Amino acid sequence: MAINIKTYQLAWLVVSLIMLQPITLSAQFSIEVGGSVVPELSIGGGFSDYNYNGINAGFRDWRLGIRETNLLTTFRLPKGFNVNSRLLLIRRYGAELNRLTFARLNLEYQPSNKLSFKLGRVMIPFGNFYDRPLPQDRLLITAPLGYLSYTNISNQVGYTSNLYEPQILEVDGQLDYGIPLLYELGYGNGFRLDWDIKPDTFEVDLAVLMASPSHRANRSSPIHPTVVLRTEFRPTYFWKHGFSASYGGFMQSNSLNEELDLSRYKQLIVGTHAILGYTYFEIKGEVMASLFQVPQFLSDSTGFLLDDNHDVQRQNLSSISAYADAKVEMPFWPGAYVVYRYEFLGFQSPGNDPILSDWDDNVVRHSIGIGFEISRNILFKSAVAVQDVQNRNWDLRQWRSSLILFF
Amino acid sequence: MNASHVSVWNRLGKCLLLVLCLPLMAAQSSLADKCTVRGQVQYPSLKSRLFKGMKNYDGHHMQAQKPKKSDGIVMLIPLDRKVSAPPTPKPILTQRGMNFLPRVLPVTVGSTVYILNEDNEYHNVFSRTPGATFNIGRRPPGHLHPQKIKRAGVVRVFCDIHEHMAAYILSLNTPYFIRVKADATYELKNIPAGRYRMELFHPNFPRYKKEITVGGASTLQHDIKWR
Repeated sequence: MAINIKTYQLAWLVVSLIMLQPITLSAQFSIEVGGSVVPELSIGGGFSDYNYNGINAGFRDWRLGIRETNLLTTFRLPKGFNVNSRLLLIRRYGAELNRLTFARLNLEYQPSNKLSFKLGRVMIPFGNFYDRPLPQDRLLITAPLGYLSYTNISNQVGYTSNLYEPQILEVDGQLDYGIPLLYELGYGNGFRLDWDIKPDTFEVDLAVLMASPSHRANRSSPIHPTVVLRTEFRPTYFWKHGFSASYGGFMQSNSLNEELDLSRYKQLIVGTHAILGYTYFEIKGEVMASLFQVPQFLSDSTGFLLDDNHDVQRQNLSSISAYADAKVEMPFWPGAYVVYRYEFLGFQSPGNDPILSDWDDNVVRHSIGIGFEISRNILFKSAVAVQDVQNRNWDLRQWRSSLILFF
Repeated sequence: MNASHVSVWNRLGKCLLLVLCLPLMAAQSSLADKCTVRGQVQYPSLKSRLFKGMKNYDGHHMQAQKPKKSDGIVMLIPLDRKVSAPPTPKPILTQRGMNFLPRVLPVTVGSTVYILNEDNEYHNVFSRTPGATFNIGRRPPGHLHPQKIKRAGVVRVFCDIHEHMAAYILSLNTPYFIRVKADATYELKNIPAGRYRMELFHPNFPRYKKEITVGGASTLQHDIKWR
């Protein structure tokens, strides 16, 4: 099993600890430790693929194995300083369990319970999902389509029709799978401010990152300053509502786009999310719209589409993603629930261009799942999903059951 | 009225007086047999441990309650007789400021605990303690929910919406219990003479247990100190 820890990630951790060493030596500090192991049994339909439904094409049959492990640490230092990390071992594109990454690694200054500043790798404050990144926190097993379904936009070449199907684009020896609207693991590098203006009633989060939230790689080259803003408030006791927005670049330099000014290509994401609850019922949902400004890479791989002035054209492509979860708890069985999710991912851009007006295939997915807390440290979840892709007759059904062992 | 009549009336009067005084005498005797048990609790120091469990993952930090001296409950369990423990009159477990108050609620077995949401948002209360599982769902501000506690022991309760919220319902088979005061003293009044096992429950420390004998004096001083 090949495990790659980026040296700069370890370096960042070591540097953080060295910088704080005078404090740690001079006063008491504590280390909070948590972790999880997630064994999973799964099976996927005959056209399953990681980019469409999270089931790797090589593992469509019955599969039993560890889906991910987490090691969480927080070094609590005096004067409100913390060093937070989440070391994640996860299946690479849903295949082998060999992708080791820091999904969180930051230095935090928390002057009060209402205010926190983080520098390093942080969770991107966007929508309903960002503060629920751990498997035990999520209702279903698979992330919503907006976070998981890869589109015909690549951060290497921009828009390409049929990027992934029927053949995979290869750029500088790397396979290009496209990007989702917002990366499933939800982290980015940069600075984040959390401000609880009125605790549990009105909060604001602001992040300045090195790339747009759709960016998946460990670092961005070049760096695209990106601003993300999220607010959440509670109009009344049974309703929480929030708005999020993000604007920044995402294109990465490579041998195919050396001629391009990558800073011209941006992603704007705006979203709104809500949680409504009453007794044993809860409805949770999110709508997210994304506007990509991208070059268009010709599908015969001969280069980029040019305008009349022989400059690379910049296309505006939009998409919308929405999901709603309806959860019912079992009053007679504490810790048990049933959840249904409807979700939609649509691609449409204004204009008469027959290609761009429908630049990817719309997706609808229905999922139903159950969850049960066997104990305070063991959760069981099981979910089935059916997924329809516009103009395609693909079997993207999936069934997944997980035990989540955590401490 | 002759002398014999006077004698009869005298005897009758004395008997009546005796009958009237008997309950008072019994009560006086009973009071003499009851005792006050008091003392000082010396908790072990709450040393900050190097390694702790993860309190929260990310995002906004809600703080769990800090341990207090008054989280301790002193109880006396009779060893030489059986006692009945009537239900505790209307014990209330309040949710206020995103915390359970009190953090430890002592009641007798069979009592109905009233769970009150005093915050301006939903709270949920559930327990997975074997024999005392319940889930009352999301309850709006001001809602008072009765929950009968049918088993003895520690019933741990949580809020599903706010993970840092946790409380302990201490369900007891004895009527003799009291909360430790903020100055770490306690006083149990009207304890009948006899042998008891004194216990002190505090969620942050091992349970203190010691056999004591009550009687012989109106006050028994028993300080509690962990070894």
